Parts: sequence; C-alpha cells; structure tokens
Amino acid sequence: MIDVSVISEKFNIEVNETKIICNCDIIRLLEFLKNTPEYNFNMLTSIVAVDMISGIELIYQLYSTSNNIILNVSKIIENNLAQSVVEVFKSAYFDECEIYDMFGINFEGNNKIKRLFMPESWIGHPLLKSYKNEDMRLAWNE
Amino acid sequence: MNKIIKLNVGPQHPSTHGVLRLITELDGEKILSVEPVVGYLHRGMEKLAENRSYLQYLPMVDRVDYLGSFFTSYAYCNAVEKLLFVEVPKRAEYIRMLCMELNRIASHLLWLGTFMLDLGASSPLFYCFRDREVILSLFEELTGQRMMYNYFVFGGVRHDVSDDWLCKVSSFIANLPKSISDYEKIITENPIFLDRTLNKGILKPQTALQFSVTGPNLRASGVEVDYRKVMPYSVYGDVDFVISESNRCDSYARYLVRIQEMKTSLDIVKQAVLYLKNNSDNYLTKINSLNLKIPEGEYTSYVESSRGLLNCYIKSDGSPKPYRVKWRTGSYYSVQVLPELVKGLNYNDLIAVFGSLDVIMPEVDR
Repeated sequence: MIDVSVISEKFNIEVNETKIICNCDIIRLLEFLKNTPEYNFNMLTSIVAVDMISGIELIYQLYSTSNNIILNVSKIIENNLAQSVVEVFKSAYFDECEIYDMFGINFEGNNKIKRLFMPESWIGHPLLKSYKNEDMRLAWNE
Repeated sequence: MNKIIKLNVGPQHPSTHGVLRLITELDGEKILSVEPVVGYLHRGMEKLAENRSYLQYLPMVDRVDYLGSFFTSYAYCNAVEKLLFVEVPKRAEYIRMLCMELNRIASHLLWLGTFMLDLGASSPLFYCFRDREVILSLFEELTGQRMMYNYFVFGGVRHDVSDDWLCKVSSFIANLPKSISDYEKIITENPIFLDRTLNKGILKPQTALQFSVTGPNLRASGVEVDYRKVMPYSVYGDVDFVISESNRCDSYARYLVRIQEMKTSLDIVKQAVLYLKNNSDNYLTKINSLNLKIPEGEYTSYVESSRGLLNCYIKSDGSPKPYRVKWRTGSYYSVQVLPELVKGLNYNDLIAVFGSLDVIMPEVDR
C-alpha cells in the first residue's frame, strides 16, 4: 500500500487494508491521482462493481506504469446514480456500460450509455443479488 | 459523388475471431467511424460463480479464454489460495509456469496463423497449427484435455509431471526455434505483409494507456509493462527473461513483439524443465476443496495472459460460494480501442488492424 497521507489531507477518504474508500468527488480524486507526479496513476485497469445490498460498491483499480504501484479506490453508490469517469479514463466507457447493464447504475456524464452484453429488451439487471428472472417471454418461464 | 454509407460487419464474420459486430460508417472506402457491438458470446460467467461452490466453478474458468485456459485457471486458483493463505509448493508453481508459457506459445501461434489468414495468406495457418498441435498433444498427455484442462487445483496441480513428458517438452522446445525462424524468413520482410502492416493501426502510448490496453499491444507501443516482471507472481521472479518491446506502435510492431514473446517463453520453459528435472518436491498442498469455506475478504490476482492483463477479483463473505467474481481481460479493452486505430484507414485495413490486436470474443463477453 502506498503512502496516502497526501491524499487524505486533500480529500475525504478512509483507508482500509486493501483499498481507500472515497467519500468525496470521485472525478476530482481520480484526476488528482492521475496528474500528481509521485503517483501518476495513468491506467484504470478496471472498475469492479459489487452488490452490497445496502448499495453498490464500485472499486476503481488503478495502476501506475511509471511507479509500478496499484491502488484500489472504493466508492459506495446508494441511489443508483454514479458519476462517470470517462472524461478522466476513456477505458471506463465499456466498464460503465457493463455496470449499467448488470447492476442498473446510471452514470452521470456518460451520455452514450447502453446495455453492453444483454439485449436492449432485457428486463432487470442480472448481477444484482435481488435479481429474479421472471420474464415470461423466455421459454423456461412459460 | 460520395455518399456516406453504414455497413454492418459481423457478427458472423470469419475474421472477427468469434462473434463481434462492427457498425462501420464509410465514405467510399474510407472508414469514418467504427462502433463495436459485443455480447454475442455472453455466458454469464460472473453470475454462474455466485451459484456454485468454489470447486464447482473451477472447471468453468477455463472457458473464459479458451485459447489461454491455463492463465484463467491460474488467476482463479491464485486468488482463492491468497484468500485461504495457502502456500503452494515450489514444484507446483514451476509446473504451472511451464504450462502457462507453453500455452502462451500455442496462443501466439494460433494468432499468427489467423492473422496471416486475415491478410489473405492461407498457408501459414497450417504451419502454425502443425506446431500448435504438438503443444496440444503435450497438454493432452498431461491433463487429458486438448483445450479445457482443469489441471490447476487449489494448492497446486492435479498430478505430477513425468520425466518422460518433460523429455518430450525438451525435444519440442529444441525444434520450435527453427520453425519460428522459418516464419520470420517468410513473413518479416515480405513486401505484401509490410504493405499491409507498416504504419497501419497506429496506437500511440498515451492512447493505449487511456484505453487501458495491456499485454503485447501495449508493449508494441513502447510501454514496457509486463506483469511477469513488474509484479512477479508464481515463480517468475526466479527465472531470467527479457521483456520484448517495440517503439513502432503499428500492426507490424505487434507482430514483432509476439514473435519475440514466443522466444522469451521458450527460454522460460527451458529453465522450468531444468528445475523440474533436478528437483523433486510435493506438487500439491492438500486442502479439503469439497467443503471449502473461505474467510471473509477480497483479492485481485494479476496475471499476464497472452492477450494482456488478466485480473480475477474474488470477494468472499465466508460462505461456501463466492460472493462476487469479476474477470478483467485484455481483449475487452483491445476491442474498445479499435475505433481509434482504424479511423481514416481504408476499409480493407479494418480486418488487418483488428487481427493484429489478437482479440478473442469469449474473453470479452465472458
């Protein structure tokens, strides 16, 4: 784990064993991590979404190619509306579409959001713990 | 008079390496934009994990990337072992590394053959498959399967390798350099090949990082990141090898890097065989996989697969089933960067550039 004292001075974060939990503006935090030379997190390797029942946890997995460090930034989403980070990392577009598809989270700022894997007409968001497939159009539900 | 037309490529297209649909906008033959549409191979790997025990899910992970089964298998086993705090015997790690590197060679050989096929050369495919066949036979002898091995288990490997098998591997790696140099003789300076790949599909390092492209594609853009080197997992820290890299950024560079990588893999295999012949040790830490209960926690494994960074994220809540499994694969991000690479090129370069990225669809859709 890297020295996060500089980040915690500027941003409202909590530090966990494996990740830092962001209680602030995620775009500003990621921009700061990307543009500060001692971190230089220039790659967002992926966004992991986990259904925590009380909300959806988004884990932004960052990697710095020059410093060879990884950092996981966690953000809890409670009202199905998250901020899009496509402006900071373009690779986030597919990730956000997938999370929208699988967890039903809307990303503010990502205006081309669509279902990535499931058909557009699919009902529900499959990776939610509460998901139940009761779509009568499907053969096995008839 | 030019008219902008929308052309649909795929999903059933012989050169999309699976089922990828590309919605292209063309002005004459010039590509204005490409929009990849994925999801035709979606099998719900991540949802399936949540309904199965850790052991039941193990045979399924081979299907995430069917050309690099050992990598996905390793990523999953590694994450589970890390969550269980299980130490894996060194011999098992060497066997795993040996398998992964042979798998990398097989995967790159298949890529080389199909890439040449995409460019219109049909004979290299047969030569590449000839060599790949030897590797698959070796795997078949070792694991009983040609593609979905299910050979790595939590704590090690299913059974030990025999000396006889190691001798066969030795004789294979003694013969392969000649085949590779044959390919290089035919392909590397071939004017038609150069015409189709030189300065085509340029991926600038900044774009590559923005789009999170990893693996050989990133190294062909001059960014020297190989997770085997920068974050050594398994026993990669114990062996000597060089990272192949090129500054050219184009399709040709991606070809050069992959050819170099096959040679690098041969070096690693050689060292692994030497170790396995001279050291005997246990090949498995016995754990009761049937009633596996993993303590609460989360772990992400980092593996350099043949198509880039492979992550397996596992979150456990202490129950016999994983709470969440997430796969991060290299192809997923390579597909996303394709529109940037082909903008402004001629339509016939679309497939040539796409082929150079080494994308396979099961890994994208999971």
